[in-house]
Amino acid sequence: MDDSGPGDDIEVRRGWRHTVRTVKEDTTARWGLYIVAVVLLISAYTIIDSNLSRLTLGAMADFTFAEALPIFEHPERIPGPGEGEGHLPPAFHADGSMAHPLGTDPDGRDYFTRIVYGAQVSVSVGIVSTLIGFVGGTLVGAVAGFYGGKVDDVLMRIIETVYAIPPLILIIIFTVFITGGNPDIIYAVVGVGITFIPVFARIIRSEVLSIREMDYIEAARASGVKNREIILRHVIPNSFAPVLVYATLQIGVTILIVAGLSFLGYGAQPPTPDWGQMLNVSHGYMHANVWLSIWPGIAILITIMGFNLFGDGLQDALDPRLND
Amino acid sequence: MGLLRYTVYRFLQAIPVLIGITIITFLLANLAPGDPVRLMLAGQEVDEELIETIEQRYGLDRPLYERYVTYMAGLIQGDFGHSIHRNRPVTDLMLNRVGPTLLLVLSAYAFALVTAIPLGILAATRRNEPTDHVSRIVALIGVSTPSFWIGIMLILVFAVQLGWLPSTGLVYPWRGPDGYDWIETWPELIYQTIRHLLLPMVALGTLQMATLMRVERTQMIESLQGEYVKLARAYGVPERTILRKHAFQVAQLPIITIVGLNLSTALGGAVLIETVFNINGMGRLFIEAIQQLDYQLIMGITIVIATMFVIGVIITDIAYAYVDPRVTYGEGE
Amino acid sequence: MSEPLLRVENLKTQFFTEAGTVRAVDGISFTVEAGEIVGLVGESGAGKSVASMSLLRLVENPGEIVAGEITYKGETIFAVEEGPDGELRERDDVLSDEEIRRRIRGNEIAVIFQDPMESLNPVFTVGGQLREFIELNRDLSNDEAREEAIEMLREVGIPDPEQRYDEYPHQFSGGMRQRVLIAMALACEPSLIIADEPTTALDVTVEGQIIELVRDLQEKYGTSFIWVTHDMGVVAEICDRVNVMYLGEIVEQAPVDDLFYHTKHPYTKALLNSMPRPDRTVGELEPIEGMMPEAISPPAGCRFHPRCPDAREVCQRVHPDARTVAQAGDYPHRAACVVHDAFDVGYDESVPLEGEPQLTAGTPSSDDADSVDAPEVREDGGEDRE
Repeated sequence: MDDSGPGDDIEVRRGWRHTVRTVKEDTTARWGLYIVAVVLLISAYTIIDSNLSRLTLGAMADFTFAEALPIFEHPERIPGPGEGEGHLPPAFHADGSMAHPLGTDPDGRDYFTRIVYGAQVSVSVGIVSTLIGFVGGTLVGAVAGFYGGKVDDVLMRIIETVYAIPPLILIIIFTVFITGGNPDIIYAVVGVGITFIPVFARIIRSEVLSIREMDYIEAARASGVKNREIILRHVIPNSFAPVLVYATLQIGVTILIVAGLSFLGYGAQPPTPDWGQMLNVSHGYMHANVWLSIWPGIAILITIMGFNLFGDGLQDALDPRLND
Repeated sequence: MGLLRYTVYRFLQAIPVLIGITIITFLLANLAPGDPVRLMLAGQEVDEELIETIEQRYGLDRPLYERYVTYMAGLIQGDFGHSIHRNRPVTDLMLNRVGPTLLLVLSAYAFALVTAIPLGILAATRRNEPTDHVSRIVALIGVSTPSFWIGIMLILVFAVQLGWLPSTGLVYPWRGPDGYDWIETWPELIYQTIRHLLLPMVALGTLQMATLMRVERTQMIESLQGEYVKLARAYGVPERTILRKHAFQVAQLPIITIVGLNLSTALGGAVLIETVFNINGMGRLFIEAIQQLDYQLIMGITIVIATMFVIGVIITDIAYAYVDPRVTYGEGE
Repeated sequence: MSEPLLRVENLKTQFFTEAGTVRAVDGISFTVEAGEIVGLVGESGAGKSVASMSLLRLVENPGEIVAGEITYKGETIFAVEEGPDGELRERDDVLSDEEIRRRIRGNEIAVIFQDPMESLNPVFTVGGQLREFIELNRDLSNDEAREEAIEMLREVGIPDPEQRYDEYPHQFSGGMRQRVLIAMALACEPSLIIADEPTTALDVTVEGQIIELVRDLQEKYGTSFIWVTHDMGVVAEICDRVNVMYLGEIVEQAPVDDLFYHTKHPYTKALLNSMPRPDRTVGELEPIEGMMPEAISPPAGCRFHPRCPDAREVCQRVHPDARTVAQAGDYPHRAACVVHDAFDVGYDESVPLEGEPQLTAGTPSSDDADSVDAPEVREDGGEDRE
């Protein structure tokens, strides 16, 4: 049963502790956390690995993490076009070999390594653009909700308008027009982030609207605390939890959209190993090599599922009505 | 306020949003670095005089606000301007592309609703039983899988491996059998349309299905715990009637809203699905326009797609007001 | 005495939760005669609502009726017997689920719930809901049911019933909705109506009107009522006989006058003393010390002893059942307290428990006006244990 005491900081803290406990007890949330953790570790490793090799390629050209953990050969070492055998099937196939567990791509590059390195792009893109949307949306939503009146009206009209254009279309227009027709992943990330500002702003705003009416905010106002201070010290911390849940779920959506962008050719550009972009390439070989189209999709599915499971678990923890 | 007046009111209310859409699209297209004509001619021998002539002809040398007013004046008359790249009116270019997209999106919704509602109810009534767990896993996979990859997988299985269904194109029923050399009768036309529509419909509809199924389950669980359900039970109403009538009706209200709001995702998804299945709809036209940097066409498509979304939301709002007697038809706003 | 309308014997309803078994109703027995209003009184969490829902076999998961016998007009709503292998099983003469639904719910026993705001379905018209239940529980055609519904709306004092028939619940005030629910219950022509805190959610003035209405209609139709409440004031106004419940048990059972003037159980005394009365100031009110413990781990011995001002050492050991301690007209006056002679367990010789009664939670001071409400806090705890 939900304790409905006086809505105060104590309340929030108790809520957090309750949340952590529920996530620990909830199997789905735990599995989500495991998947997210594994994907994060992999991408962290690949980031370190590729940067390390870049740093050391001159002086210590022979030693990299990739050699310490031989399954992670970094992309620079992978045979370029024509060097290796292309279109090798995965290891469990009769013609496959353990040297390339998931086979090779048309250019003869090891597909497993490329899939592993793809985590880096998807995860960092998902997190960074969600952060942009989150921070921007929190500010816009808090201001709109707290001040109300004309400010709210104008901001909400703008948000409603941006909301009407499907994100994928808006982002493509943004990246293409900004770059004058030479899309790049950085612009995609910024574009996705900006596009999601309205989504976050809406949620924060409605949270703020309900918190604004609470007694302790009235009390703070009555005792002469400045508006800016009320927003920063009371309103935002208290509306934070539901938005954080939403952000977790939004990371999944973001990865989904960026994959779509890359698939269409407006996200990551070759030779960057990105799952969506790999599907773009493999689309042309659908009849020749079925496997190329399967692995990146599974990678995307597992990653997004991790964030969704974790977000669902968090949501259940914060909304006790549905999990008793 | 009556339902009719509410409808008019809702449409009037949408006008600022529609104007806002044109402003945003116009600004995005015109404030971008680089000159549209120059970009279009990129790679070609650039003749300064030619560029000036083109700019003058299409009014690109005039100030921004003047161009916007001209654009809007045309828009009101249904004129989306002229595609420099294709040398044809944008309205003409879009006209026969709207149908396929609408057909695709609407059929995807039909698929989603027809599967999601029964499955969601089933999951709610068998809460925490195997049926519920399976449907939750299906829904989870559904919201976590990119629609275009589902499309690719469907093609791999049903077109490439099994050869049951076609993997590209769409047969449009509105063209009639005369529109195709290889189709003779109406039933055959309908059959071919369905065959071609099946895979893209499932690919685009899966995400909607999964989302709606989750909402339906949650709403039914909540509704089944309502006091009014307890009361109906205490008065001997059969469990089946409670499920179909008492609990069901209340649980559908949020579904209506979600259907409207998700239209944005579905229209965005249509861009991907039309690309995967080579369907000549608005989505593919958009990608073509983007590749050719055809500014007028990009603006036109964006405005039309956003308008589709706005109209969709209005329709669901009206449907909601029709179903829920508590809606005061916007008087409170 | 002839067979009463409803007889409940040793009824036990339990909830099997992860934290353990909650004995929400733990062996209660009472009867309802034709045409009388029987009160079921106690703090929230005492098991009143679960007990009343058990009568319709409408206990929600994970709750279950585990023992006892419920007979209504000679038919068995619930009973268990010992099987050949010593296991408990349902008796053969128990009505099937289908029979209960068709013949008992609504047309024999109807209910009025506590929250009129939530009890009506928001998307159907008030008249439509009324008509549906009438059609279902009486063999009336569509049109006849409609007429009957309008007639009942008029009967419960809803002005302009023809027009309001087609309106939706949100167009009715709380008091009006409760009238609709009363109309619903009466329109099915049951012999017994369970009123589960029907006035708790209403304003005091509206509460008075509703009680008046029920009293008039009860006289007119001769329907029996089980009136579930936590409010002794309402009990005094409307009930003929009263059962006082504490932690799943009936601790005192008597006709209303005897209960008020010859109170035999310390808990009832405490309830009466905590009730505001015109002849006393708020300062004189005596709230019941402490909070009612959880039914998941009731105290050993007498369940009330940790809060009882008269508790002695023996109360910690002996768990008293409700026994006849006096005769009140045709009915026995039962109480479950070892202070009475019917319990020969040595109360008088026993040592009084040290100091203040033990508090299980909270420390309301007796002059704190807020704590007058002590027995009423968490007013839904009893019903929500699911």
